[in-house]
Amino acid sequence: MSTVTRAGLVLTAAAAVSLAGCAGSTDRVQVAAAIGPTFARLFVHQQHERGLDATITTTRASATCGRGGSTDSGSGAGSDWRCAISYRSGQHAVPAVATYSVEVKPNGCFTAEGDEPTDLVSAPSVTRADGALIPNDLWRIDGCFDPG
Amino acid sequence: MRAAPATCRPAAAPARPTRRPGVASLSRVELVQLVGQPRTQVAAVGCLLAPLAVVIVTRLVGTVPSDTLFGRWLPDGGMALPLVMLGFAGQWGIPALMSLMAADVFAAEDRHGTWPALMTRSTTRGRIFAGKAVSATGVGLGLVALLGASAILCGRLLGPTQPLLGLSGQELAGDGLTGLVVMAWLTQLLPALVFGSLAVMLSVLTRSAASGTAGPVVLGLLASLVGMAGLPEWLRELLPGTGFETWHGLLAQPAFLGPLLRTSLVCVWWIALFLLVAWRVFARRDVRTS
Repeated sequence: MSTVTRAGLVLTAAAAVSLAGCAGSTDRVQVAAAIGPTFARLFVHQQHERGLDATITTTRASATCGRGGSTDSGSGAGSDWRCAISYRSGQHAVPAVATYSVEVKPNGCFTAEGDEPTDLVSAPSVTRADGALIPNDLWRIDGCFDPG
Repeated sequence: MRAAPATCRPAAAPARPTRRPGVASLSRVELVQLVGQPRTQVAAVGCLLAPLAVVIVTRLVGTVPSDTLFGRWLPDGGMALPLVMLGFAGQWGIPALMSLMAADVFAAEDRHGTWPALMTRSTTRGRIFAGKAVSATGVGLGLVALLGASAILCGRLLGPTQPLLGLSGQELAGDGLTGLVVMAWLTQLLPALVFGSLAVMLSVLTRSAASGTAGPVVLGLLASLVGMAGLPEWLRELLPGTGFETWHGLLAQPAFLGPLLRTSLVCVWWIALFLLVAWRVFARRDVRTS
């Protein structure tokens, strides 16, 4: 058994060293870099479904995220993340801000629940141009990023 | 349940009497025995019908597993079905399937006291070990593939044109989406092999099918619990179950393959370690007293 144990220890050490070099821990830049573009795509998707014009370029979404009541500090997995995403919708030149409560899991997946503005992100359904109710893609956002 | 020890093949020897049965023919014999067993057949039927059962239960109960990725889109059918099942399969389904197939392959010879007879056959211990390990894990992998194929087919038949929002909010549809889902299921094979090897090792070490079956499932659940406990990412990726989750990267935009590649290496390491330990113990065992 000793040869096996020794081989195992050597392999473990080698694997640990090689992995330690290339994997870190979740930080707020990673979370923001994932949720900003994800929001932008879903915003465009939602606007199109509602019969409105929007593109990724005109939306110019950008996110800042943080933990525990802050939007600019914190790291690691947890359910107390918050993100503020600034975006522009077609008719307004001034950016608006959408806020989300975010749960970040250790595997790099997150679930973001919309807080504000109410009519855009915190209702499970939204109205289309013709008055019909459709599911709101911005209400709950599931996504994943590389946690390494 | 096992009709005969592995090498009781009616010696196809007359033509070439000096040739010993190789790993391939030993695996084939074990494979035929495994496939002939009721539990393998029940597991295969279960894998075939599981996706349909998920759809029916979801529609009957009227709630969706919304805390699982893609769970909210499950009622729409389409590729949400195989992706939701992927989430559950990795947590306990695949470890359970692999250990159900691999756990008994060594322990059965202990239970029936057939090792002495088996070892007097004209083949080496190494070939017996390899034949058993290859066939047991091979059948397990076959069942995982069957489960995945059934889920994908079922999803396709229920909602062939249903587009899906990916893990970066991007729209996925058509054959591109199906291709990604097939690849996502393929990433399960290597981590599945880790749990198959673990079951083989436990089967050899404990000589008991029960611990070989329950061990990997319990360890798999434990590993995913530990993985949720906020470990540093490099340590989390060393856990044997982390590989089941790396398909997430395929469905993001831009896709990220780092975790998939790193955990693949880790999987190879675990497989080598488990099989090495199993082989060392098996090679030194005095089978005359077992």
